[in-house]
Amino acid sequence: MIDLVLLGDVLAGTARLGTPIAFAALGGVIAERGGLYNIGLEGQILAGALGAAAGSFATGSAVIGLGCGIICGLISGLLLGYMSIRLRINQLVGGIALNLLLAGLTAFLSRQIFGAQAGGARVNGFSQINIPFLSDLPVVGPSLFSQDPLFYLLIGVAIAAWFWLMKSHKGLDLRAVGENPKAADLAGVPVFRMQYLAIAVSGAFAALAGVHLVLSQVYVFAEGMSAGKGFIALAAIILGRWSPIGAICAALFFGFCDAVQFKLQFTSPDIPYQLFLILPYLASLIALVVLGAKASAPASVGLPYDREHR
Amino acid sequence: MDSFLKVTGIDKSFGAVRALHNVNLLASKGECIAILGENGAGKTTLASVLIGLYQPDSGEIKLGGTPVSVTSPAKAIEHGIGMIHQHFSLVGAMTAEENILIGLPSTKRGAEARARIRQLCSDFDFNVDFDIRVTEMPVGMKQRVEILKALFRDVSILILDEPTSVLAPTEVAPFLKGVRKLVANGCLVFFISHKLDEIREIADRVMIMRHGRVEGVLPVATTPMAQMSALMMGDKPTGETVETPKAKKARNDTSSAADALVVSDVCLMDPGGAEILQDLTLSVKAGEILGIAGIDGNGQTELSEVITGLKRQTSGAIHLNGTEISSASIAARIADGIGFVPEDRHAEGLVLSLTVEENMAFRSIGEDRFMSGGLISRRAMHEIASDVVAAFDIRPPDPKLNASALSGGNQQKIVLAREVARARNLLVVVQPTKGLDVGATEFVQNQIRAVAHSGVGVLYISTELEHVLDISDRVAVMAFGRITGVVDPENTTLQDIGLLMTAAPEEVL
Repeated sequence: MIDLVLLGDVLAGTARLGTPIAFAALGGVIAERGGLYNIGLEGQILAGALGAAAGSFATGSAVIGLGCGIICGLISGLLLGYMSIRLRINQLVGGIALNLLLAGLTAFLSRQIFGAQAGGARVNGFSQINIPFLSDLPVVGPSLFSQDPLFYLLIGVAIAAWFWLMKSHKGLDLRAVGENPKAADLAGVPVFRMQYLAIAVSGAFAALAGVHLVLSQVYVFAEGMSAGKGFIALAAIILGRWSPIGAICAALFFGFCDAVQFKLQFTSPDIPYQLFLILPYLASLIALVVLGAKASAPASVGLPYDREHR
Repeated sequence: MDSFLKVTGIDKSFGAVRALHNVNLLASKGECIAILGENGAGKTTLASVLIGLYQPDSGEIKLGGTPVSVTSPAKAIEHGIGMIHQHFSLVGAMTAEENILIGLPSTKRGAEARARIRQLCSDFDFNVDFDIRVTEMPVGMKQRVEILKALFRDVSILILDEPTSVLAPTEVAPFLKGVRKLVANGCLVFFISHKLDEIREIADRVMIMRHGRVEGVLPVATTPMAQMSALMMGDKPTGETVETPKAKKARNDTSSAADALVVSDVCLMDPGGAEILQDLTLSVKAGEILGIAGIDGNGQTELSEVITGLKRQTSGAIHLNGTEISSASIAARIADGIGFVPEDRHAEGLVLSLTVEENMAFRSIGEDRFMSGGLISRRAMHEIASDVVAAFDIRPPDPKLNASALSGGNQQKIVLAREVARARNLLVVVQPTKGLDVGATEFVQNQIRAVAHSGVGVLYISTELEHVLDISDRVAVMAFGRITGVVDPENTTLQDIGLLMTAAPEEVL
């Protein structure tokens, strides 16, 4: 029975720790399927986190916080889109620049908004929702069906994104843009509009990761609280084969590794905890080495489209 | 005259290159206008302006009397203007159906649409595999998907850029029939082509372009081919027009020469286990041009790749001058004096974002002539390239331009110049005249003849049968991954070769 309790704990941890990575990875998939690298996920998580904290702090409403977070994500996504689509800046450089900008900007703004006191200001967040009957199940009940609303939102959004991308006509158009923008353009697809849409949505999804961190996990904004989740999400995109569902599975796998290492820290206090901390990163490296070779990215991802290029 | 399309004063420049110069044109519905011109004359540029891919620097386009601004291909589609590109614009990772449906409004994408695609396919006698992705299709099938894509969009103006250059000879007639059907239905068709006989067959009027200007728009029926050719070539001597049969070039006597290349019993399987090359055996003597004829997609490209080392044969042996090179690396084969002009000059022959001189130097960059004191000598590179640019008449004659700024024919000359210099023992050329005009084709052929004359074996792979027959000392016909016959081009009939090209494997031998 102790093992079952442990399993339940790890499952709950997987969902909690994997959700932000999954949101960011989902955003990355949408952008890359449209032919744009979103290396700015890390910064957009921070933007979403700050927006959520500020919105909730100002109004006391977690839902308004959620909305503010999403708007911050949309704006940061469009900014990256402007750099990548209009200015045709190297997308890796543009993404890194955005990360640096948002890391600094969110730290600055958080002090302006919340004051300089240590630990920032506590804000109202979401509380867990128990799904009737399912939450009464042993092991999976308390871990998977007593989560916060954003976890359920993730599941819904993931399915919707998968359906839109793989089954709908507009999704086909977006994938065509990512594979061969010229062919899409000649077929009448508004290439640039599709790409702006994809990168904005991508930023909004990444921001949801930050919203989850603030409103469902710690109820406070902290500088640099994204802590590399945006980069793990980039690995999850590749591991998930550029599929919305695949990326979310990969993200939850990373969340699982994180949950396991937390547990191990408690159960094996003799071993330096730093060793356990590397576990999720080690797992992502191994997974990429083992599975990554077969992956095939959208053919034109990262290549700016220039209609008059000969 | 009721002119449906009116184009006035179109200008377009790319940096220093003036691609279009005050182009004017009147055209009505239900006519087919051929656009004839040398490589770089501005034919494709004009087409790209019409479909909104390029924005003209000045000028006006009127449709049915109203000025339209075609600011994007999507706008062009709204106005019913479609184009089939010489270099395909398909999404490789998707199926034919997905490619055709991309970008259409949702209402046009249902089950009805799928049925209509198949209906079009049978109307035009096209063989298209709907279960595979475009990357897995042979070139000819990709072309058919392109054509279907345009037809499906109910175009009223259709621009065809060298549409028959990749079609098998047997597919050309049904295709032309389809085009005529479109014209009869009131469609305005622009037919960009180098093939005067096709223009004769299909077009009502011919528009001749040279150096970005329109030299004349003439009725095809009453204009002698010699006049079209003269207008196209400008002030160049036009003694050798298409109508006067060319004197057969003296062929090399290579009966006593040693074998430069021997390919014995070579088999190649694709990852799916299909046999692409089956027990293929051939030999090329030093100084001989062996032509490989065949319908596109019968293993010719793969044969060239096996010989140059890009693909490794499943079994069999390859000898160069008596030495086995079956498992030698590509670099070793280059060092052994094999030159290779690949089929796709954009993807495999050139780095388009590098300059002309850099393209000429690469793969040989470590040689002494490009070096000075252990470093690359830019000046040596420039001087060598300038000589080649002059010798091959590459235009514009500036080795510091990016390769992408040049027209297809001039790009091909860069590749050819580089590979000819490298080919000490063997030159493998694949589709060297694809998309080239009469003048450039002749130039390329003469360069290849000169290479053979200097004692190098040449393997000349092409689907343009008349070019193969014209240049080769012997012609091997390939079908279904094997050589179905070797003929003497002097003493053979097109009918015989046609039979060899289409023979099913069981019926041969």
